[in-house]
Amino acid sequence: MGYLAKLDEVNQEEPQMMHIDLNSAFATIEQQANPLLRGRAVGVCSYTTPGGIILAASYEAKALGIKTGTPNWLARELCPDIFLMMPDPDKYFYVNSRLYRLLYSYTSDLVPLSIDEFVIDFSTSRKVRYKSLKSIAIEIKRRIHYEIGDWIRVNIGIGSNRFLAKTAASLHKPNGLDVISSRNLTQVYSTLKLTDLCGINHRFEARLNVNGIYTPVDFLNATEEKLHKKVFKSIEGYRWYQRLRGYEVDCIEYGRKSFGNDFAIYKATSDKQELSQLMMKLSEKTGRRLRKNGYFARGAHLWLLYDDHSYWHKSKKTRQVLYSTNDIYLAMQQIFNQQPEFRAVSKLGVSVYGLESTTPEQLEIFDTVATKQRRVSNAIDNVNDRYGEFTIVPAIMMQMEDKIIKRVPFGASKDLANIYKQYQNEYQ
Amino acid sequence: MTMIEQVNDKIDVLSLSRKGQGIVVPLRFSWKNKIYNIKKLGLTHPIREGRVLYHIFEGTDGNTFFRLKYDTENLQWLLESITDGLPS
Repeated sequence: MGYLAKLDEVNQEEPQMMHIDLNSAFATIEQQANPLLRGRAVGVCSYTTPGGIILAASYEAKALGIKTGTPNWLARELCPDIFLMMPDPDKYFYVNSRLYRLLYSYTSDLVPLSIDEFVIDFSTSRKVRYKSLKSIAIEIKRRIHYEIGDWIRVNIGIGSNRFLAKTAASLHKPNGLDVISSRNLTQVYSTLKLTDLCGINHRFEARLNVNGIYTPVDFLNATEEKLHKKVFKSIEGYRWYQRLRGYEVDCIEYGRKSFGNDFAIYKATSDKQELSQLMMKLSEKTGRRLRKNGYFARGAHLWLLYDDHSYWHKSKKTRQVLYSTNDIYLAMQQIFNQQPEFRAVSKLGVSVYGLESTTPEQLEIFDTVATKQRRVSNAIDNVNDRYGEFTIVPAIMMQMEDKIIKRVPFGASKDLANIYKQYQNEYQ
Repeated sequence: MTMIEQVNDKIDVLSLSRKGQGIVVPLRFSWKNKIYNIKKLGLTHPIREGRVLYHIFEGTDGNTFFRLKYDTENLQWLLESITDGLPS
C-alpha cells in the first residue's frame, strides 16, 4: 500500500537538478593559488605537526592513499614529498563566494550545501528552455576555468532529485560530468556499492544486509512496505523508496537551532585556568556569531572529550537570555564546574540553543543591568568589527590571541549567506 | 626542503591597473636587493582586518612562491611570505 502516493515507477521526468562539487576543495584552491604545487601531493591539515590530520588531500595525494583523516605522520610515510600546509579559510570562503556568484547568474534557485558543494534546481529556470542541462554544465565548467581559476575543477552531476544529482557527481572524479535519468538508473546502480550511496554508511549497510539487500539494485527492487516496516521501521523507509526512484524528498531547509564552536587542545590539560580561558574564547566566538545573526539564546551546552577518549556533556536552560559573551561564559563555567570528575581535557566545545530573534525587541521603561550589558556587547562588537577581531577582549583572554584559529566548518552552510553578503559589499 | 619565510616587509612593486580585472596586477617587486618578476598569479582574494580591506596576491616567478598584501587604506604593498624553491 502506498503511504502518500503510489510511486512504483522511476521518475520519468527529464532531470532538472544539478549538483556541483569542488574537487578536493581546499587542496585544489591551494594549488590554484600556488602554481608550484600543481601536480604535486598536497595536504591541507589541522596542524602541520606529525599529530595533525589531513583535512583535504590533493588528487595526487589521494592516488597514494592519503585521504581526509589520515594523520600527518602516515601521510609522510606514504609520500615523503607531500607538502603539508595549514588551512586559509578566507581564501576558501572567497572561492566559494565567487562560485556562488557565477552559479547565481543561471538561477536564484541555488542552495550552497557546504563550502564546496552546491545544488541548483533548474525546473523553473528559463535557461533550460534554450539549452540542455548538459551543455549548461559544460559552460559552467568553462566559466569556472576562465573566471575563477584555471586549476579549479568541479564534478557536476545531473539527476531528477538531489540524491541522484549528488550520486551522478561522484561517478567520475575529478572533473566529471554525469547524468542519471530513468533510462540509465538501474545500470548506474549496478556499478555501485551500497556505501557509495550518499547517506548509507557501514551501519546502515549492515541493516540492509540483514534484510537481504546487498546491492543498490536490491535496494531499488525492495518494496516500499519492506523498507518502511522491516528495514528502517520509520518514515525514512518511505523516503528511501522515493529517493532511489528520483523523487525529491531532500529539499527541506532546516532553520538554525544553535551556534557553537569547539577546539582540539594540542596537549590535553586539566589546568582549570587554561580551560577557562579557552571556554571564554569559544564563548566570545559563539557570542559574536549569535549577535551578528540577531539572536538571543535560552540554553547553553558544553561538551568535553577527555584524553582517555571518554566524553562528558551537559545542557542547561537559562532563565535569563544569553546574549553577551560574559553571559555565555558564565553559563559554560557553571556547567564545567558540575563535572563529576576533573580530568585532562583534549577537546571542548560550547554551543547555545533555544534561539530567539532580537527583533522586535521588548523595550523596557527603565534601563536594567541586562540592557546595559547588551549595549556594552554591541559596542565591543562594533569596535572589533572596525579594528579587527579580539581588539577588545575580556581580561581572562589576554596573552592567548592566537590560541583558537579560524576554521572552516564542515557541512554547515548557514554562515555562508553572511559571507556572500560581505563579499558582495567588498565589490560594490 | 622548502622554506616558508614569514616576512611582512614593505616593498616596492611595479604594478599595472587593468580595467575589469580588479584594482591592480603586480608585475615585479624588489626585496633584499633582488628583483622578482611575477610570471603567474595564482589567486587574488580580499581579506578584511577590522575595517581595513587588503587584497592578497599569490603568485610565482617560476621558482619562488610569494604572497603579497595590498593595503587599500595606505596604498602600500607588503611581502607577507616567500617560499624558496619547489616544494619537496
